[in-house]
Amino acid sequence: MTKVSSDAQQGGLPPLSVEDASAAAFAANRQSMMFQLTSLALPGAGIGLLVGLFCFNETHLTLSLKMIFAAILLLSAKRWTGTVLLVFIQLDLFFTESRRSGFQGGLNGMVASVTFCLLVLCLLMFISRYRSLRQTSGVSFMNLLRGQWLGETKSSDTAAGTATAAGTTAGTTETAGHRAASFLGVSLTVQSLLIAILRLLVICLAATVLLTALPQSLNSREWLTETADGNIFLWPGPALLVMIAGLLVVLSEIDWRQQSASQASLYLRSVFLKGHAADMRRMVLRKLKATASRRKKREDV
Amino acid sequence: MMTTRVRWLILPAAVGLFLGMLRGQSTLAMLSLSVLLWIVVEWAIFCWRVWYQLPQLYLSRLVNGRSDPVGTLWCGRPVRIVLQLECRSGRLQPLMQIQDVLPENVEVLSRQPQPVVNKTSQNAAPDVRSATNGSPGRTNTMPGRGGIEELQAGNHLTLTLPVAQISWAYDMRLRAAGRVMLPGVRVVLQDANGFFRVERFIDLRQEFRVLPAYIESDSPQPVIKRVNALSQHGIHRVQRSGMGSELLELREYVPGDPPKSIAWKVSARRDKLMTRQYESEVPVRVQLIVDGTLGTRVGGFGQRLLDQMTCVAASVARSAISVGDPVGAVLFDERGQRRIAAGGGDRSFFNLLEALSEFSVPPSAPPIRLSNALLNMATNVCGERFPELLDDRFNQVPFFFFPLSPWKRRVRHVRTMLAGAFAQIFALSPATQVQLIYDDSLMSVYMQHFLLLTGMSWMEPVALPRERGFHEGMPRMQMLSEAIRSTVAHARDNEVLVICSDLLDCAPAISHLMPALKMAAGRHHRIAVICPSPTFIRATNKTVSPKSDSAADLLLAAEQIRNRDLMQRLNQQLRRLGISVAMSGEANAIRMVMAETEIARSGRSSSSRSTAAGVRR
Repeated sequence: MTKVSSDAQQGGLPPLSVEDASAAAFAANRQSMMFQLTSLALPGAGIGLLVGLFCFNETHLTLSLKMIFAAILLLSAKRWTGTVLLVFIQLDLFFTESRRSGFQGGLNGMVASVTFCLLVLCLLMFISRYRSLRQTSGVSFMNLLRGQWLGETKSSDTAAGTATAAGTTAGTTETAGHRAASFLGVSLTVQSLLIAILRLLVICLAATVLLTALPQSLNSREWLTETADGNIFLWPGPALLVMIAGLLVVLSEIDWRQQSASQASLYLRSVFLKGHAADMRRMVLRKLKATASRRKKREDV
Repeated sequence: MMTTRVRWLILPAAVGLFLGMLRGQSTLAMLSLSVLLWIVVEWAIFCWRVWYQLPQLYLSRLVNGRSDPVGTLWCGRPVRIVLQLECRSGRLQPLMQIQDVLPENVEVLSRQPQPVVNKTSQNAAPDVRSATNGSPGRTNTMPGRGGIEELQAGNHLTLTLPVAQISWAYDMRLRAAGRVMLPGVRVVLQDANGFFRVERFIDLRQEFRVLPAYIESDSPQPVIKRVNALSQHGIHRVQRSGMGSELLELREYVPGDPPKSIAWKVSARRDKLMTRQYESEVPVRVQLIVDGTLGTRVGGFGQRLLDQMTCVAASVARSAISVGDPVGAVLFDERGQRRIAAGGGDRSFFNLLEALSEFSVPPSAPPIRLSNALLNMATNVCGERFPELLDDRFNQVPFFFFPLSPWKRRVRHVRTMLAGAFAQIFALSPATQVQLIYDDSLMSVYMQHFLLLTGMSWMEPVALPRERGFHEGMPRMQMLSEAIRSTVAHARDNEVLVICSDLLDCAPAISHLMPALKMAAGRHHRIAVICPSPTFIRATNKTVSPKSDSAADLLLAAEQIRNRDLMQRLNQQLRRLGISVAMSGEANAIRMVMAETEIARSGRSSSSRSTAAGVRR
C-alpha cells in the first residue's frame, strides 16, 4: 500500500499498515483519560493537604483550621496555576524559617527539607499536569465522572433489556477489550508518573548538592573571618556559570540549526529589512504619496 | 516556546532563591532552586523532543481508502479519512495535539476521533467500538466513556499517553462542488506540565476535484400506458407532424400528400379523401445555461446560489441522459462563456460534471477594503497554516517610533509579521514586503488572495455582501442574453433550454432579457427557467406571516414576501412566452423542474406558447 508522507519525511520508510498496535494505542489513549485525571487530582489533593499541614507547622492553629486553609489553597489551583501555591509556601518559609539556619539537625534536617521540597514539587507537578490535561482534552473531571457514570448506567440498562446470547457474547468480548485497553492506559500513566516523580527527586538532590557546595550569604564580620580563613570556596560558582553559559550556547546553536529553509529565508529577509527599514519605509511612502497625487490629478481632470 | 504559566513560575522561584540565599534560609533557597532546576530539566527534555522526536514523525492519510495526492470526490457524500501517525524511533510523548487542517468546504461529521477497525484489529481491540459510543457520522449528545468529544471534532486527536504509533478515522462531507485541498496536519507539541509549547504544520497535501451532487428522479416515466410502439432510446414523440409511427391526426387530403398516407376506410366513411398525419419522432437535446456571476458565488459553501444551480443542473442532466437525451451546457460568468458540447452517455455526463465542478471553483474575488476583521482572520489562518512563519525569532519586526498608541502599535506589529509571511509564501521582493506594511489596498488584495487559496468562501470579511439586484442585475441579463443567443445559434431543432440563473433580482427589468427569450421561443425551442432561492425556501402565493417577533423571523418573512412578489412578476412575464419557471433549492423543486422539463420535452404546450409569442408555425 502506497502512502503519502510529508516532504521532509520521505526517506524510504517501509509502507505502514493499519495495525493492531495503532488501534490498541487509540483505545488506551481514550480509556486512560479518566484514570489520568483521577491519578492527578486525588494524589494532588492528598499531597496538598500534607504540604498545608507542614506549612502551618509553626503556627498554633487547630488541625481543622489548617486543613481548611490547605483546602482553600488547593481550590485556588483550580482557577490559577501552582504559582499562587508556590508563593504562599515561599512566604510561609520566609517568615517561619530561621535565618542562617543551614540544614538544622544535620542529615535529618536535610532529609526533611528534601522531602518537603519533593512534596511541593510533586504538588506543583500534579496541578500543572491536571490543568494541561484538562485544557488540551477540553473536559473537566466532573464531566468525565458524569459521563462515566451515565455511560455505565446506560450500558447496564441496555444489557439487561436485550440480554440475548449473541449480545452477551459481544458484551463479554467488549468488556475484555475494554479492560485490556484500560490496563494499558493505566500502566503507561503510572509509568510516566513514576518517572516524573523520580526526576523530581533527582532534581531535589541536585539542588541540595548545589546549595551545600555554593557559599551562603553571611554578615560582614563572618564573611571577613571566613574569607580570611579561606573557608569560602568560590570555585563552584564560576564553574557553574561557565557550564551554564556553555550549555546555553550549545542549545542555542542546536536550536538555530533546526530551522527550516523557509524560516532561514524569512530570517534573512527580516534582518535585511531591519537594517534598511527606515530607507525602504521612506521610499515606499513617497511612492504611495506620488501615486495618490497622480490619482487625484486624474480625478480632477 | 515558553508559556505564560512557566514565566509566572520562574518569577517567584528566582525571587525566593535570591531571598533564601541572602537570608541563609536553606529550605526556601532549596525549594526555589529545585523549581528552577525542574523548569530547566523540563526545557531540556522538551528541546530534545522538538529536535529529535518531531522530525521522526511519519504521517499518512487515506481518503476513502486511497492515498493518492489527487482524486475525485462527490459533494454531499460521506468521506472516510484515516490518519496514521508513527514515530520512527521511540515513542510519541504526550501531550500532543494533532489536527487535520480542513478547508471551509469540508464539514466534519464525526464529533470525535474514531478507531480504525479492520479485519485484524477487530479481534485485537474489540473495546474500541464500545469506546467510541456511536456509529460513524452519528452525533452524540452525551459524553462517552472517554469524554474527549466535548470540545473536539473528529479531525482532532489529543495524545495523552506515550505510544509508538496511533491511527484514527473520521467522517467528513463536502459542502459544495469545486476543488478542495487537504493541506496537512497541524501538530501542537506540549510538555505534560504545560510549560513549553511548539506548533508545527506538516505538509500532507491531497487535492480533490469535487463533483456536484445530483438527485436521481424517482420515476420520470408515466405509469399509465400512452405509447403503443416503443421508440428507440433517446427518441421522443413530439406532437408535430412527421414521419413517426404514432398517429397524430386525420385531415383532408391536399394534393401532393403521399398516396400511402391516405386513410382509405375513413375516406370511404366520409366520402372524401382523408390523410393520416403521424407524429414526429426526433431526439431532444437539453442545453443547460448556468449563471456563475459574482452574485451567485457569494455565501458559504453549500449555501451559495451557484451550489443550488449546479445541483439542479446535474440532476436535470442525469435525468435527461438516463432517457437518452444528449445534454450540453453553456457556463457563463464575468470571465466569459464556456460551451460544453452536447453528448449522451455516462462519459458525457461525467464531462459535464467535471465542467460544473471547475466552474464552481471561486475565481478572484472583487477587491475589498482592509479591515480589522480581515486582518484578524488572515492572522489566524496564517498562524494555523504557517505557524513557523509567525515565530518572533525568525520573523523579526523592525523597531518603529510611530504610532504611539498601543493598539495601533500592535496592529502594525501584526501587519509587519503578516507582510513577512506573505513575502515568504508568495516570494515577494523586499520592496513589496515593505509596501504591504503601508499600503492598505495591496495588503487587502494579498490577504484576500491568501484566504481564498486556503479555501475560504466568499463571505465577510473575505468578500463583502452585495446589495442584491443593484450591481449585477443589468450585466447579468446582458451576459445571459449573450449566452442564450449563442446557444440558439449553435442549436438544432427540438432543443430544451434550461436556464439556471438568479433572475429574481432581475425581475423588475426582465424586459431586457425578453428579446433573447423570444428569439429562442421563435426557433421552436422549449425553455425552462430555474431560479435559485436565496433563502432555500420556495416562494409561495400564500400570505406570509412571521413565526415570531424576533428579528431573524421578521427578516425571513420580509425576504419571503419580496421573493413572492418578484416571483409573481417574473412568472407573469415569462408565462406569456410559454416559459415554465421554477424556484430551486430543495429536492421537491428539482423534481418539479424535471416534470416541467418532461412536459416541455413532450411538446404539449407548444401551441399556447407559440400563440403567446406571436410566432406563426
